[in-house]
Amino acid sequence: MKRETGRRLIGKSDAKKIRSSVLVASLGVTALVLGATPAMGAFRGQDAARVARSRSGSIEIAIFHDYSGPNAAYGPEAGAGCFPAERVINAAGGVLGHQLTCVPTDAKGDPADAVPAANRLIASSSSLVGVLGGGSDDATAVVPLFQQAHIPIFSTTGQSTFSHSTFSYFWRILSPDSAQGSAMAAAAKKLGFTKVATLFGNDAAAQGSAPSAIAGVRKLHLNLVISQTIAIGQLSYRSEVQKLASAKPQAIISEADPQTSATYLSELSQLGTVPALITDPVSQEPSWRKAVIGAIGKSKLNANDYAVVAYSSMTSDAYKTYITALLASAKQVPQPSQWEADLYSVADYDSVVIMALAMDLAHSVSPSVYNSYITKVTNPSKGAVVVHTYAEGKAAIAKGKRIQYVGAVGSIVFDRWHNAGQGFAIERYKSGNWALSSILTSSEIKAAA
Amino acid sequence: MAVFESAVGFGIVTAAILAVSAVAFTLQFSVTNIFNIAFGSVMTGTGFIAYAVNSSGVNIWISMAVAALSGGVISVAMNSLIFAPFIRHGLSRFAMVIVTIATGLMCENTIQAVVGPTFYSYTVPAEHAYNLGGLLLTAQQLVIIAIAVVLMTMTHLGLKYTRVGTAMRGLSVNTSLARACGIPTRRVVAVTWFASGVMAGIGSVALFLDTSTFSSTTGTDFLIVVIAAAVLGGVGSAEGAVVGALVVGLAIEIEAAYWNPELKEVTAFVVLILVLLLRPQGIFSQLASERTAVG
Repeated sequence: MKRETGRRLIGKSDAKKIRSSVLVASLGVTALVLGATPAMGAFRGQDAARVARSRSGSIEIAIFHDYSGPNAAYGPEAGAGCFPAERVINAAGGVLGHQLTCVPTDAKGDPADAVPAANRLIASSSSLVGVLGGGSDDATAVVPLFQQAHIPIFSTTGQSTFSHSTFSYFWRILSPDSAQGSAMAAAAKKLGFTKVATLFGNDAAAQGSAPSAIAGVRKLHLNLVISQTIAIGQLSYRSEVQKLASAKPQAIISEADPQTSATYLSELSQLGTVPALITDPVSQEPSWRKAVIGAIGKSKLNANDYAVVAYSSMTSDAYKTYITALLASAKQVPQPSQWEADLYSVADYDSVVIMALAMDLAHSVSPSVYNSYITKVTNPSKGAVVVHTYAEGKAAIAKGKRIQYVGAVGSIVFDRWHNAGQGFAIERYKSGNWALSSILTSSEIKAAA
Repeated sequence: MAVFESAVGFGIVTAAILAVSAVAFTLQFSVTNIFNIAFGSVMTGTGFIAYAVNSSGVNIWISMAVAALSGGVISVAMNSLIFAPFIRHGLSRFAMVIVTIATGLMCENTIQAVVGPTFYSYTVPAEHAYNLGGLLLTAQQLVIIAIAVVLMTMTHLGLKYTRVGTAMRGLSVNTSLARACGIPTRRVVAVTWFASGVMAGIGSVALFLDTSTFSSTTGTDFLIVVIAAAVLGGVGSAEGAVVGALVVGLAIEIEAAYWNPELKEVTAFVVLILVLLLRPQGIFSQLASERTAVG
């Protein structure tokens, strides 16, 4: 009998049919994949409008973060900063007569996809004046591209590589991961824990703070009972969990993605107790909390979690302005209240306001011109008027005054490498809100660094 | 309890969870010869169906049964509406893999559009571990192991002693000969897709219960481990998939217990490569590489 093979011979008409089928299917698949994600749908819809707006003089800030894949929450998180800023800036008359628009752009989660996406963004938009983007996973790949294109990029990466980089268009408001790690160790000491474990995912984001946290624990002479670096996204961590439980730590200094944290803590919880958790700002992200609450329960998480975050006064005028604008932006930011305490969203809001104020001061929306004015609107200088909102800053600049923008995250003072960095505080989740537990002094953090 | 015994115990739990999905994957491949990458999104979809049922107050095990049935229906629909027309046009096996990847992407993105970029968990009572001869296991894990054992036994007996099982085995060895012998190919293929979908539904809920939380990409994220178990045992062999899952589960847990947990997946794949170097056809199977896809 003739054996059938994978390479079946086909006639010309069959081949035509197959080619047509594949073509139709490919087009269908492409259309469906592009159209499936709501955020991407909105993005696509904005493309045509973007062209029209740029003709009428609008300027664009790209939200260059993930809108698909495992970190698809990063895009909406940055949007929760950008769209409220867009609202307050345009309500104050825009920037030098231009309306400002936030444009979601999918970075897709890894450098291989992020680089072509960044190149497309740079090549296709003539009215792009700034970027929010460059997370820990793709910053090293995309920051040089925006540097080359002379477009300022406000990044949320924690990578220490950027602490002393010479990229003149790179800006970072939040502290680098190394400072975060030291602060977490200092928090363990301040909270009175003596037997500490460290638990970090093996991804770039978590590994940024791991070395300084471990070094900090040792420097502070705390007893490091076990230190684990775990592969993220695993089916189970039972063996690792049992080793950690046997070491009996009073507290775990930890940073890992939502899925990994949930699986690990769920298995730890099944063994009876969950020690205190000293976590980073990721634990304040809605997706992280939702995942871990689903795994160990709200009461257990709230009772054990101590989030070590950049200190920002949640009562400042700048923060109140942000919250008002955020809640009014429900059309672009679904369920806006979930981002109220999200430090990354707050920092992105400040980033956009800073870029807009720098353009006002420079009397130019040209990125290569206003980039050098950024420190002039944030850093303290003699006679500068402290402003907390875009409207205040714009009015002061119009009167010819120097300004210092103190934003929703607090004072933002960039060093020569364009890193700002804040003090740190320990926050706890109580009665539906994040509340300040205590402030870590600079000497406490210095002792761990 | 000794670290080794404990790691072996944990490895068995992991293997039980993997085995259900690995057998489902390999059963469908052995009969249809379609290397179905969209299997991961079927798992995700059924996991979310179980979530919808569970969220309305229904017990998780009943939700699992609903997910199983939906998995069967989704798989049959996927084959008849997408894969079968391509097969009828004589698409090569490689091209079929591309079709399944595209189908998986479509499904994953559609799921993400519906559920959003966040995480979900089933509503289950708080679990505490029971000490079984020094091994700490939860009631939920014990139920999952029991379900896996029952399913594996049923699959084995079904393939060996039922008419449809015999027909499936016939198709998996030689499609043309089976057809010539009067085996109703389409019906048998439909039953295979349904059975594979049912097991995907059960496997996804077991997996998502074990990871405690899941998102629109979880099924696809774990597909590589499922495929590794299936390939290790010998693609096309149900018994092989069980053994493959056991080897992967044990390798992962023993490595994590004794060495660097960061490298647990690396170890599993090193074992996979070593086994395939010695037995390219996998532990159990004879290769079915020369067959065309059957829709």
